[in-house]
Amino acid sequence: MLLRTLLVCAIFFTAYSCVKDTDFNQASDIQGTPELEIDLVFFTVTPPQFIPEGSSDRPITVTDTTDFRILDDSFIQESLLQVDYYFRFANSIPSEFEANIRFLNEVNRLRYELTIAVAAGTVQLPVISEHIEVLDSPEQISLVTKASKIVVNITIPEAPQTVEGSLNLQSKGTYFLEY
Amino acid sequence: MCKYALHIVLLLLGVVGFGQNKPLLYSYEEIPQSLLLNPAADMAQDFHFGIPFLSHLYIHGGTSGVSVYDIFKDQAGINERVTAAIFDLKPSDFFTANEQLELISFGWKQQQSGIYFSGGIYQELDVIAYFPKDLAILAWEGNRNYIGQSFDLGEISVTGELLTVFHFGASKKVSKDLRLGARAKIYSSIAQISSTGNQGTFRTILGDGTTNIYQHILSNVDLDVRTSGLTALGGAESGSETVNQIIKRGLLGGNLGLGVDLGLSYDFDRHWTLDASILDLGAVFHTKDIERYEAKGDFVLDGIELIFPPLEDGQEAIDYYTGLTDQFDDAIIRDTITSGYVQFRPTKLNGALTYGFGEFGEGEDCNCLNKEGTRWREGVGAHFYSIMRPKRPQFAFSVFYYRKLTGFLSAKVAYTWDEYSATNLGMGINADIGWVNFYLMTDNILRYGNLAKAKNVSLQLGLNLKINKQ
Repeated sequence: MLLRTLLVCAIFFTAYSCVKDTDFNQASDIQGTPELEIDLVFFTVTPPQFIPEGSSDRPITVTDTTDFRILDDSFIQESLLQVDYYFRFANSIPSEFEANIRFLNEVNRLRYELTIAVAAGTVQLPVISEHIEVLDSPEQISLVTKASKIVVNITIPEAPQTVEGSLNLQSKGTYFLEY
Repeated sequence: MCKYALHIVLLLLGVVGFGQNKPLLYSYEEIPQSLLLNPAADMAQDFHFGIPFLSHLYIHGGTSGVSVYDIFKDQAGINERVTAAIFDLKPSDFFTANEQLELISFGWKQQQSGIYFSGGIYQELDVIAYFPKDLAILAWEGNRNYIGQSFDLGEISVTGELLTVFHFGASKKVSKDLRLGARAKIYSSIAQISSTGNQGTFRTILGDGTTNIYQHILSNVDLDVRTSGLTALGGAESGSETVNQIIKRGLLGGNLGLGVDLGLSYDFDRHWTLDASILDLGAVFHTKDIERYEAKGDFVLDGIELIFPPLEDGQEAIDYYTGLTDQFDDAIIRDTITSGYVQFRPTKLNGALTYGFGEFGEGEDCNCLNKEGTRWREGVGAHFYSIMRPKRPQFAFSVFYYRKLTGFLSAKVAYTWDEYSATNLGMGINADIGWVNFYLMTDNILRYGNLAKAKNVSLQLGLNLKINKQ
């Protein structure tokens, strides 16, 4: 009888301890909002790369392509709220350029495209041209997350008159996540 | 609304300090399981048998930094509280969970020699995870506002082990004042995982202008995750097979280890007694069902450099991305290996100084329970505890008061200070009713009104039979 009483007391003691003034349903409201800065592509091109084999007064374009699969992840795709792509051109060639950047999917279908005008500079005074592309709608984000390649086309209106100078690009992506 | 205490304990098991500090049970010699804390404990009875699976249950969860209430208080702004917790916690803060379930327990006194032999089997789960603050900040806020700042990958430190312990020991009075004890242990590891001694940093710095805007740098990376038994458990094709694997590995079918407990009890005089013990001085030798994952090296990422090569028709473009991932694979060497390793047990130190007083019978110096004059109705004392942990030893200090309440009932209270809590009041009771011995102990009773505010929660209870020939 006494033992039973003690056991009942023990159960009472443990059962009637409380967890109160808490709301564990808030767990579903916990949201991390990391903002990640990650380098994108970079390059330096020089005037000889734009000199055609024959004489030409038509625009000349150089192209390069790379796979780009860092967004090919279901967690990132579900968490991504906004992407800001930042491009900074430093041009010391006395010619303007047009930079066309395309995001393609696996079968080379265009998903997103942007074009940036690059101002002419000089060797003594390179000119900086900056562009920020903000993708903050689900539709826009869906376009770039479904892309797996980046194609960069650099076009000069006509063959350069000099072999000096260079066109440099540095770029990064800022990824705003919420999970 | 109140919820059951065990619910919160189970909740804390997943996230949550001082596992296995048992100041209430230590030197509580009416309870046979005090032999597990000091093999030199003095047992008054001639025999004891633990009720299988009920003789000792111990559950503990703790966190050195934040309480459940700190995060889940019923107010708006949980994300702000999580952010505050991430920045308030230190890399030395930890979450721990410990559970012990005694399967078999027995003991007897050999009358000729006076040696008390005891043995048994218990199962134990022990987990400790330190708070990887830098990685938490990186995951919670990203690197954007931390350009130039290093994130320490070495803060990753976690160990977890599920094992069964087979033990046998003896306690003998070697002189009028001194009792010595020892216990041999065989560890049968069911599963173990650890990642300690890691190093390396990740940082994003501004580029020097020659490449890209940033450089993302992994420096001096040396990460190691060791697992044992998980492949065997993970390879089971059904729940019943998993249970069979657990039972098999727990019954000496897994990786084995050896250890020893040593203890002493010294009576300075009739009132003052010193008890001291060192527990789990040993290691488990993991030799089978092992998978270890290592990553070592240095790497700098500055994006993808395009070189606009002049391509002939049909010529394939340069695969920059694969080249980059290949460079990463070459720079950060990752291996999965199966070589064995030794995992030392978390050795514990206990010491207690007790002053006994209060005679059992009015006007009597001693009675049948006051053998040889060193058992008293009341006792006060201090208890020191330390446990080896991956980053550094942890310490706790308690003061306690014991009192025999009636012929069959006694109680003990303890107030414990450790590095993070100075308000831990614990209480335990023990009842000897005929042959039946029952005990129940819990700590943090000041927080029992709302366990969510407690940073430590523990409960231990047990049921034994204690038999005297006369």
